[in-house]
Amino acid sequence: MKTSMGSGSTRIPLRQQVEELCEQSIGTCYQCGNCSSGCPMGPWMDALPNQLIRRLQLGLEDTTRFASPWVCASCFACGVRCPKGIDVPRVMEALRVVGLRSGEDHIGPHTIEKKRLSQLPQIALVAHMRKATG
Amino acid sequence: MTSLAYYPGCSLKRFASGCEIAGLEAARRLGIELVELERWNCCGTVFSMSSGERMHHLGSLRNLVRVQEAGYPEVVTMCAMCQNTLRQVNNEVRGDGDSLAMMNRFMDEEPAYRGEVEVLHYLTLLDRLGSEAIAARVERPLTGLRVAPYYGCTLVRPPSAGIDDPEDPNIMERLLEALGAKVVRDPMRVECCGAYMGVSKPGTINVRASAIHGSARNSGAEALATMCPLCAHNLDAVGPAPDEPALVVFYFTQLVALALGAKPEQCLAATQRVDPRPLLSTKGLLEEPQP
Repeated sequence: MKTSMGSGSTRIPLRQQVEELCEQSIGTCYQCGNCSSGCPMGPWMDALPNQLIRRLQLGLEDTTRFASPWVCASCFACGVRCPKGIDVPRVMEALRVVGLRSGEDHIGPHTIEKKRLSQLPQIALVAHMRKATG
Repeated sequence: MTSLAYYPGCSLKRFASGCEIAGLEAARRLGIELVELERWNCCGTVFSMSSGERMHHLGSLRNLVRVQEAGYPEVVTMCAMCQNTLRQVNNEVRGDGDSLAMMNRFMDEEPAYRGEVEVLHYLTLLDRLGSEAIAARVERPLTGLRVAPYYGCTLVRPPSAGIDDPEDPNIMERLLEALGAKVVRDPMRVECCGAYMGVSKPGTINVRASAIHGSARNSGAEALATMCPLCAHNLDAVGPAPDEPALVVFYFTQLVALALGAKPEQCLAATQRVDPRPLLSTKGLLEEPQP
């Protein structure tokens, strides 16, 4: 009998992983776009928050390839403004956690020029590293 | 004099020391002694929102244990981000007995946290004293100084950790009026400055700062007032694009201390890129208060 323990056969669908991590049900999103229209980091995102949620609803497993969760500043504005009560910042956090569990950090002291590193306040460095390193 | 526990956080001991020096002096002038906690540690800076990352809440919880040990029912913070992180962690363990028990098992070298400490922001403390009581202590009214309160994110969002309405806060406006300033309501006052994204995407902060300074300037402001060290860094030290004008950025505590009659050197201790002295001088606010 062949026993397979590879990740391929037992992988939990991305939407389920995200929903468990953020303790939110994203099925109620009706794509009004309020989260994205008020997003301060929207201009630098490759997929807006509502687009990420739509992709998750559709079960698109490659949704982790977008840089948006690493551009999100966790300002909580989208969560306050969602008419369906979805805590969108938690959805973004869950996408970050899924990404970090793959073992890849998205920032590190070595990625920042030394002169800039000395000028950055610890509140910014610690906050960013808490969000973008595992 | 009333004594309250005080949690400073890392920024107020470093680049945002001006916020703390002025805040402690203003509190003293209002009859409040803020007693710094012994052995405090980093709050974690940001709240971990995922169900799988609760270990990150330990930093905040240990601080709440310190408050409990010292026997205070409340702890005061000045930093908006510390306030937010401590409050959110506190809310989470208070609302979930299993979570509290699990976290207490994680830090079994500490006394068990009972979930009874209240996290209080400095502005809430002032608001609790009331505008009239504060106005009665004003020795150097900020007459003619046109200030736009800038809340940013973590003072008001998420609502469970906010000190006022998340979209239409009013607490800084009320206090500024008590101090005699001319309050300017800026439409960008709850919009994010870019926060920590300046670390990996420096250009984003200039864009956000330009929008925020521009909006406040167009609304008639001469200065911004904030309670967040990260906002202050982004709006002042980084600031708008070099060819655009920048407003003076105050910590709110600096304006309180100034109005309550503190010496200008106590109010303006930390380095601000945009020097506030010329503006304050034109308003006669660097002079000794009139008896």
